[in-house]
Amino acid sequence: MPNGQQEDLITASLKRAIQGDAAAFADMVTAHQAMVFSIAWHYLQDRSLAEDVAQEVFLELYQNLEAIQSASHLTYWLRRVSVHRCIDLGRRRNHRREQAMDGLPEPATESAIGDPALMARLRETLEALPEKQRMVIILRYQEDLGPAEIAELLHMPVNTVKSTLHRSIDDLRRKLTRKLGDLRYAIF
Amino acid sequence: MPFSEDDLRHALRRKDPGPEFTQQVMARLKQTEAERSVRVEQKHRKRPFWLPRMRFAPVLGFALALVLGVGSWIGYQSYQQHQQALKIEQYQQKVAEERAKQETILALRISSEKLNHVFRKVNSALPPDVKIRRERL
Repeated sequence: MPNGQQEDLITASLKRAIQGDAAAFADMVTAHQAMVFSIAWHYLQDRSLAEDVAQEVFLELYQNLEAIQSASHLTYWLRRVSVHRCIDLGRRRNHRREQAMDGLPEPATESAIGDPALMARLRETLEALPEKQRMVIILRYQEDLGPAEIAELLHMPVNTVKSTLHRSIDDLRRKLTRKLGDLRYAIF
Repeated sequence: MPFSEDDLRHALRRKDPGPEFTQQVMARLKQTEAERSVRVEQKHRKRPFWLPRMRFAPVLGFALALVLGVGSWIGYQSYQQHQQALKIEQYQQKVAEERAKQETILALRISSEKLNHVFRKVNSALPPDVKIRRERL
């Protein structure tokens, strides 16, 4: 989430972008590209598709710039459009992957703490979750949103979001354990 | 394998698509804008200045058909009314003529009766040799 100073900068960029300043729009893209791209990438597990979706989202933003009222509204709008675009594309794609995630380099990250193998396994296991569960997990742990905010974005009751979160974590644990069990069996 | 919420948070931390992403978005934006302006220009160029825009053509056509239809219906209705009024007028005129004819005949009969009465009175008062012989005309 942008802090106060960043928010002021984004609001200023927004005003200039509405007046037709392309550089200001580019600043807005730079400020939000990680969020939009990461939602798409974590959901679709396909870098080129995620880039396409993120670009489409920003093009749609350009068409609707005048409807955006503030920096927080902009973040909310981008999140909402990204989430729904990803869900739509995921349904259309119907499990067909044009390019596997493994074939491409991992995008730049801020730090490299934690067990890389565990991180990779977690991401892979996430891919196996149903679409709504996957999106709930992404919004909870990537975007750090609360159940109420997730419920608003996904048009779901708050209690459903909470139960989906619990179920998703359980599913992740179970699938991850099964996966590691298979791996051990393959090695030994 | 156990994992914590922090592990999940770390696995799903935001990733930057790289500095070239903004340039790609701006390039696509430029391309989209250029395509749109070309499309708009072509649309304007194809259409003669005196013709309405094609998207309004169905509405205009419908409105024209509606106006023509309603106009014809109103015209036909007023023609029918006019014809009806003309017929009633002719009939009333005929009835008035017939009545006038009957009244004239009655008046002539009354006059004839009166004249006959006068003639009889005058004739009865005259001496027999002077009596007027009644002749039919």
